[in-house]
Amino acid sequence: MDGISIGLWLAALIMGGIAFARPEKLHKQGLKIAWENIVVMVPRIAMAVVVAGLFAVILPTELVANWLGRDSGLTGIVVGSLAGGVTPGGPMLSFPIVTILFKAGAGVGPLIAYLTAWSVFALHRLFAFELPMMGARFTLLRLVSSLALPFLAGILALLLDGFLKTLSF
Amino acid sequence: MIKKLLTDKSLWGFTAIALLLVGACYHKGGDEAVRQGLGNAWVMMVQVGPRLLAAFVMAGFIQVLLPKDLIMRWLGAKSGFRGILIASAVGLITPGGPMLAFPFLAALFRLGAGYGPLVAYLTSWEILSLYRAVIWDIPFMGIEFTALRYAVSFFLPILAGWTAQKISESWESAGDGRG
Repeated sequence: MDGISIGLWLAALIMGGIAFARPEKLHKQGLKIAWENIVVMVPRIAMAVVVAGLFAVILPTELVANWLGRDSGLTGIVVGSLAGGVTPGGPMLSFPIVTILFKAGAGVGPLIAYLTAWSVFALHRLFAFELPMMGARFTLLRLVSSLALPFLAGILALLLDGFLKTLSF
Repeated sequence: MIKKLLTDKSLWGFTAIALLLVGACYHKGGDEAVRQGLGNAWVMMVQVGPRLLAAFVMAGFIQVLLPKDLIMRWLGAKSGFRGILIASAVGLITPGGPMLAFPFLAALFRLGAGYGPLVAYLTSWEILSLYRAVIWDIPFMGIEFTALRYAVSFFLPILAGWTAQKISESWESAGDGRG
């Protein structure tokens, strides 16, 4: 258990206390929702983490450093955005992959571009939810309006990270 | 519960990919490479596991504590830039996966919310959802990375919503309003 775990458990405890204090006694319902999520998600996450761990072994580290590394600049942001846009599946796969890329030497700018592109363009969600529930017109309008976001986030992250580094050294 | 696991497409998809990668690792470096890959996974699981469990418990409580009806009434009638701001804030606190966010979005659509707030809401939920930060960003990437990501992303839903608003207004002035 590290600091982040302890912080999250404390927050969970406080939320539980608030739910318990409600006249409707919401804590049981909250725990039920949590349990239902845990049962479905934990096996998936465990398997996705195995995927990411194995992936790290065959991942060509020099390639990551070249294309997504700290000195990859704008190229890294474009590559990160494109990779994020075509990454299929939910967060249980994309986050272990980002962790592995980070350890392999990818910079924060490309990684934030990657995560933003994956968040905004996640194809599985688009086909499973957005198109059937919101229609093609809304989906298209949203995609056009969001096209620049991964690049913007990546470039700003690059600048902000550089700025923070000059402050601390 | 067992039946759910046996029919879980995501789980089986990941398992298939894992088996392929076991083959690829073995091809690259034999037993040693496979062991190294599983070792990587174990290290990640030990670090992320306790964080994830706490995050799921916390998320369950948040979901029951949120005043959904109030938010719906509040946002349904609003539009314009103020609607975009409110929608972005609501996306930030919407818990849960697409099973919750999309029905909510569709309900707002039917209630007559404009394209700007709708796009701002969805984008904000996708990029900024605090729920997602607690379950995924913080356990996997730590607080520093997450804080940096939020610092550079907080205005993006507003930008996307505003762009969508302008485009949809140009549709309407062309006599092509929503049906």
